Amino acid sequence: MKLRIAATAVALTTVIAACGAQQAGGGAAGAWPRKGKPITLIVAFAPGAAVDAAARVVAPVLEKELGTNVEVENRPGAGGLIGYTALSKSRPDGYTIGATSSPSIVISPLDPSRGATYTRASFQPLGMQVLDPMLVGVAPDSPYQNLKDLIEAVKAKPKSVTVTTTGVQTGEHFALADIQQKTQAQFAPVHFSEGAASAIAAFLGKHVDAYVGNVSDVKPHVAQGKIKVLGVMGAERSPFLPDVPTFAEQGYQIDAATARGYVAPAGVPAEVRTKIEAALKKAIEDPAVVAKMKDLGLPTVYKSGQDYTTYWAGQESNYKQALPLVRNEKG
Amino acid sequence: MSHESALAQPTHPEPAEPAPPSDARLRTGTQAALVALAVYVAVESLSLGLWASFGPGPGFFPFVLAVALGLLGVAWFVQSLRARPATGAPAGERVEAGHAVAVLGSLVVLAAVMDLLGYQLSVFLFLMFHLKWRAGRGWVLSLALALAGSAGVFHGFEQGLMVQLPPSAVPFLAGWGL
Amino acid sequence: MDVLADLLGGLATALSPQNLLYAFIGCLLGTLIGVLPGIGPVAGVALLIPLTLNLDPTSAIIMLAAIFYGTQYGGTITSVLLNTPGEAASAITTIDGYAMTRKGRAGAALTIAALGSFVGGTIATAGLVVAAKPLGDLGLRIGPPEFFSLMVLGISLLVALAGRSMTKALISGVLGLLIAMVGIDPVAGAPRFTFGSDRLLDGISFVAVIIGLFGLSEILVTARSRSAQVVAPGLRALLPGRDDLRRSAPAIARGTGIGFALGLVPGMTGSVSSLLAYGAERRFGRHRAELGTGAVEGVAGPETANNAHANGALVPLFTLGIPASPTIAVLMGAFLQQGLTPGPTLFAEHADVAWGIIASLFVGNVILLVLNVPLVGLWTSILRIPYPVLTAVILTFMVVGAYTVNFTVFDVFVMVGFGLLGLVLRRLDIPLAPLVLTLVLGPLMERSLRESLELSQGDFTLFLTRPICLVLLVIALVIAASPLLRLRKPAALAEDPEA
Repeated sequence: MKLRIAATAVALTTVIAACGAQQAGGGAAGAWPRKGKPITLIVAFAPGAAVDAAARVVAPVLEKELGTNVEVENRPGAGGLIGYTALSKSRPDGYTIGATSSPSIVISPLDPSRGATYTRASFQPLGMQVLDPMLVGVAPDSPYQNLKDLIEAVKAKPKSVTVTTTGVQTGEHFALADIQQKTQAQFAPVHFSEGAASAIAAFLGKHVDAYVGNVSDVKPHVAQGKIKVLGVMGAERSPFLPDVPTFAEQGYQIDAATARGYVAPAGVPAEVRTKIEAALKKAIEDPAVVAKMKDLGLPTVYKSGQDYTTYWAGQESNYKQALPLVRNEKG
Repeated sequence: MSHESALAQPTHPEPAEPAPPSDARLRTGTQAALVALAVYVAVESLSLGLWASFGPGPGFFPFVLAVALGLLGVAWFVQSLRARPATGAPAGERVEAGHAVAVLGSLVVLAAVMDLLGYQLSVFLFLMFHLKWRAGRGWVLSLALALAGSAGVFHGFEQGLMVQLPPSAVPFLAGWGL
Repeated sequence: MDVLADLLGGLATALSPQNLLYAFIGCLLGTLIGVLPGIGPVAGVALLIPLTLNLDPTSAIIMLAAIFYGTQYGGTITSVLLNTPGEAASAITTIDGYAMTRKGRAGAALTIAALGSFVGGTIATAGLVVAAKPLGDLGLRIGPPEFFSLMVLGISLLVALAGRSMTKALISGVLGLLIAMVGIDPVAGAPRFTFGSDRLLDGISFVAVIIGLFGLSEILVTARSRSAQVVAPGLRALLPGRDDLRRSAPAIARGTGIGFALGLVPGMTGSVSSLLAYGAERRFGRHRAELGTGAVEGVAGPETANNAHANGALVPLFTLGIPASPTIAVLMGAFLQQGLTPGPTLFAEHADVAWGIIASLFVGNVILLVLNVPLVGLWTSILRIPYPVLTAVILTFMVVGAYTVNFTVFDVFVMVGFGLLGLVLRRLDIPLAPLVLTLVLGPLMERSLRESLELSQGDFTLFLTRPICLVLLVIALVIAASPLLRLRKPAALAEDPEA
């Protein structure tokens, strides 16, 4: 009697385990995504942050395209490090993808003191959604009429102009280092690690002379005439600021932007990757999504996974060059 | 007005008795721990750098605080030595060791297994432990509450708030939705 | 007057049955979420945003604002009833709030908190309506050096928070500052005291700390053999008496002033306001000797300040489009998703929406009061649950709360660790309030010091040459030195050998 019970128990357990294993283990790519198995979209920032907002706008369309739930999971902390680490460690079966924002994703593995366990190679870019160029702005009543005025003034008197960044080794800091390398103009950075909001507040309160940040941060303030943007650090003029010349137009080869997109952990099977990329492309280029992003002040610039990889590599070599300067700057 | 606990925290209405020796041991132990902590932080912060280009470096404040903590720890020790002859200072709050250990221990275990077994299973076991074993409630109530607190909360958060509580890392359990 | 006409127009929108319903639901949902320890206003609002996306912009924002208020009040409920702060800003309310509960006066505490919140919130909103622009500009005048001076002033109140033993209070304060040092330092951007763990790069999670320090330690300290539960109040005790109301009035006034003023400063969080309001009661309140044992001012002051701050923080949002705190940032994200850009352009382009929102702020405050005062009986009946069962349930929620802050089990361990620390501190009669004060203010202080010095390129004299800084620093000095100068001696220090 006991033997029979035991045997049944073992058989039952095995069957259940087998079912569980089959469901959890990788199914054939052709059957991907398995019905009912949700895809997790890891967002390495807090709910409400720009990256999170963008992900949540894209998620519903992705759901429709892929035919399964897409659940946004927030893993905030350490400027993205926590979420990126989690993403790099997750299984490359296509059921986990993540939202990334450079410069954080590019810079964090470069500096050993940050202790990142991943590198660029740990991720497979799937598609880029946003390219938000940086800019330099001054007070509306400041004596600098254009970029040249500002840079020449700073070259003449190094460290005489204070300028905002959102923290040590952030995109703004690198941009300033880039400017210093190419023009010998040495600004005096003030790091507002609390974020762009406190940087803008300090700038508007006239505590800092100049503002460096993303177009999306200052769009409303430009409209109110509270900031005079001297140059945009992008390949082309920003659609939101059509009257502002780029750095390149004014003779300075500086290209700095925040790029946001989606990646998967490296090693995802090719067919799965193609499926996700296609769905992402649809989602990112969806007119409703583009409109929502525009409301958020984020320009949609789609790049395929391949192009995103290339762009990312370019950013990395830029930042690598500027890294020693930025590390000397600190402290 | 009453010179009772001025600002410390709500004291439980226990009779004031002379502090038992375990109190003194705890106190001295803590004082020693504080001084040890102070030394550790001071040493660490020296390696962080006391002064940077414009002002206090990363190690400056920790160093100053460590020194302050060390001095305060010593001061406290001296004060308690001086106060000893007096009728035991009003003790802090009484603690029932067994209870504290049970709560802390169960919490540690819960936290340790939560990622492995998943929220639902671990919290279910946790609640059963506290309701049935520690509190001695009946089976029906315990099971009901344990299920509500584990599965109920899990699904409530997932569906209602779209917040994902930890699922199990064991594939066999995950297959069951745990 | 134009403003009045606009406001009335806005009220018409806000008071439409549909919007009233949304506001009501928002308050209720917000309160329920806020009651869960750990899910504070930021997460609460963020989590509930999806519910509002299908509504038209005005209704959506109205509901969100109501949720916002609700979550704050929810945090107060757990602070008062269970000594477990639901969020940072309610941390200090636990001290006197819970003491009142133990005296059987939970209902009075909750009601006073609701009343104070209502008064503070309404006056702050009125301030928003009347003087938004000048106030917004005033807030901008507070740059990093002024911010630093404010923090110094805040920390000087630590002296006022000391009870019998200044030594112990200072130890508590220093511990708080040391805990705050863990993480990435604002100077070099390098990890400090993180032991290689990337979890600690952001510092030790504040919410996990206070849940452990207050909530868990309370459970640990309470003997299991205690069969008599905390006194569940009778009906009469549900409401504050006339005495309570009289005593609360000055506290509410102070709280409103402090909360609203600090709300205007970008970067200031609600917890700073409630802490400073408590410190002010400790320093200037008539019945300050009773603070800590269940003085109603200890609830009225901080809670009012909290709400006044939250409403005041909307000023920079509306006038400048700058979110003054993380919660407001989430709110702003919601605005943006609805196609509304907060800032003066909002009034120019969508005036009716803007005024509808402002009117709903007033309405929201009223709803909060109307909703929660009758419910006080319901909330306090939680206390009737047999304590051991209640303990099990609370423990579970604390675990969930600690987890959901950063979605990591690590924070649950943090909570446990600080529960143990809280236990030890309470056993040794070391006050917890200074620790919380310095834990909140410390990081803000170090950061603003760094920013100030970067601004001045290393010149320390800027603190003395900027007028606002100088004034604040002098006040701080006076407050810190006052026990020594015996200007207005906090009563309990009389018999204490100073460290």
